[in-house]
Amino acid sequence: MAGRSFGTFRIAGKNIKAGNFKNVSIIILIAFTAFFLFGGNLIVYGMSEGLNQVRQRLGADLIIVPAGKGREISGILLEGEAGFFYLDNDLVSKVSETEGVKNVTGQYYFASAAATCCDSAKPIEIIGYDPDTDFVIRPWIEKKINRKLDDNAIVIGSDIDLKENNTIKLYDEYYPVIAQLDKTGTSMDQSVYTTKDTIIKIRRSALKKGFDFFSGEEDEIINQISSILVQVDEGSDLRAISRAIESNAGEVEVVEVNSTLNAISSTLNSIKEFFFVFAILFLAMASTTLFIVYYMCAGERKKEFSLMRMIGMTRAKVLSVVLTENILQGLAGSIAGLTAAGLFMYPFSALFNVRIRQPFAFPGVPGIVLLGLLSIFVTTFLGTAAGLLATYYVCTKDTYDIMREGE
Amino acid sequence: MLIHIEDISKEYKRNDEKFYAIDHINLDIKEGEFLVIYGKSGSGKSTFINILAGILKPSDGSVKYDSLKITDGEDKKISEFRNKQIGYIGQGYTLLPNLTVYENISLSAHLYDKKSKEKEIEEVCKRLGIYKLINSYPKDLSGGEKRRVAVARALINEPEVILADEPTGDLDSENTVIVLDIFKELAESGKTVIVVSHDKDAKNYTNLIYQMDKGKLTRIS
Repeated sequence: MAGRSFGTFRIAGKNIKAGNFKNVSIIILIAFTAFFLFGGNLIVYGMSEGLNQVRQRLGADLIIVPAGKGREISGILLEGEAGFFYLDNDLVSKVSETEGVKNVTGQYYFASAAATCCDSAKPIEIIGYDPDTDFVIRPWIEKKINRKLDDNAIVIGSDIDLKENNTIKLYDEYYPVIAQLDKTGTSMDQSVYTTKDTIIKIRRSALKKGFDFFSGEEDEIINQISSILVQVDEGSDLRAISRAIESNAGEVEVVEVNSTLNAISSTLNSIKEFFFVFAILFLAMASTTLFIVYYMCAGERKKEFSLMRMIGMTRAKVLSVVLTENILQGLAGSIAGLTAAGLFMYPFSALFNVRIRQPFAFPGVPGIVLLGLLSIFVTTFLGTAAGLLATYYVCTKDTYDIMREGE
Repeated sequence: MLIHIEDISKEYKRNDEKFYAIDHINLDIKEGEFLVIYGKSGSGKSTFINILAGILKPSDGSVKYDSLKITDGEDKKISEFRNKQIGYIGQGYTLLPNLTVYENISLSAHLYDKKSKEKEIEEVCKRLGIYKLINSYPKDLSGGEKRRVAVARALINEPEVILADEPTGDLDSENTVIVLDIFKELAESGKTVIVVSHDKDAKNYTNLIYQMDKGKLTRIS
């Protein structure tokens, strides 16, 4: 005999298979909806997460740089721009004496090392810090390792490739990597954090290799820092402290971290608002189009539904066949859309990061799964609701009246 | 099974004017009777048979199969009754287009009965000369073949009542004889058969002939 008995799922499957162009069109429409919904959510989530990571990673309330270099600091921290400015190391103790200051530490932006020298496809930002006073990097490193940095030891950002033996090559020398930080979607991911002693060793290797773009002598490096990071006592007046530092420390500029981040946050909010409005309009347009397409299909299939009723199917059973078809189409479309969005977004996330000039952190697996499930649910629900609504009227009329329509 | 038709009427509106497609019909049809209903196009005979099948609600009146009122009641109960007890052959092509011949018959056979009916499907298909077509789709069948598949589907659950709306409309004389012979055999075995037809051959199979005119049913022999 030709086959076995079958139920709702098999009838729905055969109907979808036979629907050809119409069904493919519906699946493509749902796939587009899922693509934009998932892709858009991924962008907004990635930007929020990136900003969040930067806010937590910076950890300082104020950053002190040489006068006139304040504008460069966000470029250095977030966009990987090279920064060659230096302050005298003694300023650290001077700043620490300011009333309201809780913690002070210096950071040394060594240089953006060329990609050709090292284990990286892109230039690397080498940042020196003082393990004794640091309060910014250490909490993040301590999440990964529960000890102080060894001499020579290096912590790397998330975008730097780690070799199998946990080392990184900088100017032909291998340095042990003791931790790799989480992604922030900023130039911090392309940075190497180490002690100033290690920086001096790296510089010696670079000079041996013929890279002589680092200005100054070793003594100068030891006595210099690029910026001073300040954490203030809770409830302190940031403006007042900034003014006090500027008047005590001389030729410096004090940058309030929150105001820099707030500017990014406000851009992010604008993007979110735009996305929200766009998403609402897009979803409204997609569901209207889906409804029209399903309505037309239901109109064409009125006789088919009536035939099902004629052989003894209940209204509920006919609706369950249609519901199963809609769910299958919704799932096929949304999974295709999600896959396309994932394939499109992942390889282009780095480029995207550069283009929007904002912190951007691709969500981790749980975040992606959650966004994916949400998108599948919304798009499948939209398709199913539109399909059911369009079909409902057919099943509520007298079967024979429907069959006679158009005769 | 006694079919008790009590004062049924069906009212439609055309160009804002009401008219009766079925005009207050009363009739009792006994078990094993073979009725043929003639009438001009638009006389109401299809409307009548579809009310009997429970797929069209009358404006007034009721139809009972023994104690079950098919014109009013729970959808599940009526649908199951229609599947098991009424073999309905509708006008035109009434096969589900995306299912094969086998699947069309099997769907009806297994809607409320999970027991395998492969043997029964095979037998009914052989009897109607469509066994070779069981893997074909309706679009690949001729009009006559489609009609015979619809008859096979109507017979698969061995219903007590056969309702057929123009069952020989597009059959050649050979196939017409096959189908009408089957109906006659069914009636002789105690099933009730009601046929709406233009085919004059049908009246040679029974003495219970009715005429439908403007919604009124009159016995002519």
